[in-house]
Amino acid sequence: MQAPGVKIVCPAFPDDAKGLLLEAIRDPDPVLYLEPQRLYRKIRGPVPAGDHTVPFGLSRLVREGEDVVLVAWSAAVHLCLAAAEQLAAEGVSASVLDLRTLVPLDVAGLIAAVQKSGKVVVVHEAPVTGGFGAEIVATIQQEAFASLDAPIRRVASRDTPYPPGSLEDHFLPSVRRIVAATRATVEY
Amino acid sequence: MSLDQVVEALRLMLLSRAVDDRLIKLQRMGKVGVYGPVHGQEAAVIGSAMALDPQRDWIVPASREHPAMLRHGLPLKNMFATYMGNFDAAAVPDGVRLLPRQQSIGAQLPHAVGLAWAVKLRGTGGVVAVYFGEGASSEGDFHEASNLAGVMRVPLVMLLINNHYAISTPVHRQTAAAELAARAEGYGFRGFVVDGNDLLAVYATTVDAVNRALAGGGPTPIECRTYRMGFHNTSDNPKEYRDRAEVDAAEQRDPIERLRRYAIREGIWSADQEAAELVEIRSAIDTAQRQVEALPRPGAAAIFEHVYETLPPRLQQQKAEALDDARPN
Repeated sequence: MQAPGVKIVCPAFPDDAKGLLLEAIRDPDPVLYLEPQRLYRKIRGPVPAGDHTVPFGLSRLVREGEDVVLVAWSAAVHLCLAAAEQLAAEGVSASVLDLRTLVPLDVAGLIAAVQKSGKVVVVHEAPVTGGFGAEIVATIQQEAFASLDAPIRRVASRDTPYPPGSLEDHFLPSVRRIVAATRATVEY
Repeated sequence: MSLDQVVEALRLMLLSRAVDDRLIKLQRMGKVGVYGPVHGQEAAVIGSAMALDPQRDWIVPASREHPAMLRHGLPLKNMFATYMGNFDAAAVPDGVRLLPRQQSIGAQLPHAVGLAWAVKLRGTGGVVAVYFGEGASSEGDFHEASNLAGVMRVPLVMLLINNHYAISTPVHRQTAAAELAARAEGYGFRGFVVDGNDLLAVYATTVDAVNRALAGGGPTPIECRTYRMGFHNTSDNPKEYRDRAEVDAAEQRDPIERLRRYAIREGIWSADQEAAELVEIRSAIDTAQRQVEALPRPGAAAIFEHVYETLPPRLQQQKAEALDDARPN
């Protein structure tokens, strides 16, 4: 993120994987295109045929809700969708915003999603301290402080080296942790 | 090499092959995440390791030196624990002169030079033996480490295990150089090429290199030409990039068969001895596996170990949360 002149995109769905890749190839600037290896063979989705591109700097609301917005990108989007399903059963209505582009960030789209409910949870796979979630939280509180009805929580990985595979679940964000953080935010 | 040493070598080769077979099996059963066998490289690894003194010399491995590490003092149980995901049980015991297995290609080379430099400064004698592949010799770390090793004239034996494949990259696509050991001249020292499947030749060449280092003669690279008979690791399928014919030809030059024939001809080995040895090996492997399986499974707290001497407040909080999250609902 701290490399100026570079754009960063992260598809979470197959259609965006194609759209963002074509856009990346045509973009005149250097682009870091980050694929979620975790999702290879794990998810399926429709992919438009032909010349399908997705503009950079445009997030997508992949689930609509009234009470809170879960902001995420890449593999974490799917965790948020699963958490939103669970929360719906408890009567909590959560939006899920897939950022798709980290640099340049879709600030307008982010703020619009925040203003709907005033409650936000940010989820990412990188360790929490200094992660991009911190940038999102800083941006939201600067641009939409008056719209906030609760502190913004982040659900992310622990500040430790990546553990052996058998311990991954204790390190990474989980649906359980996202549900707990969202509940606490909604109840604030 | 004495005849006793030949028997020791043969036992280690058989152990190595059997460990390979067991850890691959465990991976296919889901008890091991990933494993890369030594298969085909036993003479290069064991022949060189046997020229070292575990009480005095250091080994800096890459990730395909299991029999050298075992001979040098790593318990078999610890090796199994590495692959079965219990990092505490996998730790190199105090007093064993081994750096841990290392996956980042070539990154162990600068460490080995630093270690050899420290050994020289301490003045208590001994050498450092570092293992790496021909793929690692293309990395920047190799060149920086080699140059510094030459300038500081450190007691280093550089075992370049040229197994002809860096995952799927064959050596003729790895470099245009006819000989990797010849790079030594660029750093001010001299390298040697040896048939990596001839355990006796590898041993003799390494002994020379060790003696040179002990006498203050600086580093010696030894390019051991061998062949990676197995896959790169359990996630790899070599059928996609090499011919069956090439692998069959390599099997004709199997280093274990080669030493076995020599030992039998010298009257120090037999089919009965081998059968008995395999029974002991199997028992040792079963024991190691059982011991690791009997250990309490590492829990959430394990990921916070070995990060800091004392956990800072934020991490203490994360650890408490992780333990809480780990409790069943």
